[in-house]
Amino acid sequence: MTKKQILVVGRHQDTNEKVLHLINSNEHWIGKGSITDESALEMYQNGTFDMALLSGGIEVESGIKLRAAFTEKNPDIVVLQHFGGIGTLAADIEKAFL
Amino acid sequence: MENTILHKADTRGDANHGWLHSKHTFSFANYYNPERMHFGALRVLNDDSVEGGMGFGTHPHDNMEIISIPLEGDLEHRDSMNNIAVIKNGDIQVMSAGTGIQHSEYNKSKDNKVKFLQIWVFPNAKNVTPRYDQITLNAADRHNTFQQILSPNADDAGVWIHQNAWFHLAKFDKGTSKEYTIKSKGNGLYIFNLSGDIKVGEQVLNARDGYGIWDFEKLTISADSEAEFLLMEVPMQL
Repeated sequence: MTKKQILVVGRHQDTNEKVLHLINSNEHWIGKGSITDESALEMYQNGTFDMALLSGGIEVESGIKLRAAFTEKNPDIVVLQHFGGIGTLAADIEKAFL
Repeated sequence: MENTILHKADTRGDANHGWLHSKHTFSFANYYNPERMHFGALRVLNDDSVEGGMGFGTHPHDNMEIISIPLEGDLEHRDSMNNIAVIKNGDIQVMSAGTGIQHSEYNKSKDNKVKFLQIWVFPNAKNVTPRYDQITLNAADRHNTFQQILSPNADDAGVWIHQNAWFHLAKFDKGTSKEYTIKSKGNGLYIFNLSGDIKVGEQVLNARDGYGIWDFEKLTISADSEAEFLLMEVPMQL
């Protein structure tokens, strides 16, 4: 089974590391992360992602800009804006992939 | 009925990490059930038991209202706003994570378990300034009545959160019956029975059962034995 590729964009390095650790602990997912919009867009252009996860600290304007850029390249991309905490992350990713 | 959902205690997600034993009413951590993601704005209801000296290390949250209700033992809280506090049975703690908060929660005792409810509610405002509060409740105020412990209003009884939600605790003697009237149109009510046996309308709830109901104005809750329970009224539309 091909692993789902998830691009994590969040402003806080510590949080991103925790999110990526959780994602990469799942045998069905593989995650890469960025704290800036610029590097996230570059990673996205050079990769094949199934989901873009907008994590903590993403400003409203950035969220709109990133979502537009992601869907422009791939209209089927799942864009998940995640709030709350690590505890609900795995379930919310599972649900978003349904 | 079409406007109800019953979660029997033994159908909850069960996570035993040794130091932490948690029962998840809704999908959380490794427990995933697409049919159990939330009840309206109520996203998390965890029934946690933490071994002595153990706890949750520092971890982040954002844009969530997080409520803790200790049932047994003492829980030590530390957060990125420099709050250091201990909450115990009879207290209620609230955090608005807003733009971001980091916190830890540890069992203050080296020997005894701490048991508490961990509750997350989706907020009605994003990126608010993080805040922390805790208060001590008067247990006598819930004897055979509904004691308000949380509301949307800072000047009302209990703690407050960024959501159109009301929580009440109640401790009923056997045979006590009381009517609950919904506070805000469009809200639903999730009843979590802590102990004893109660009836919500005709629905029997045993200890640790949960029951959600919406599209109603009033309902009657009665105790078939001495019972303690938590009422969580939350918006059904996110």
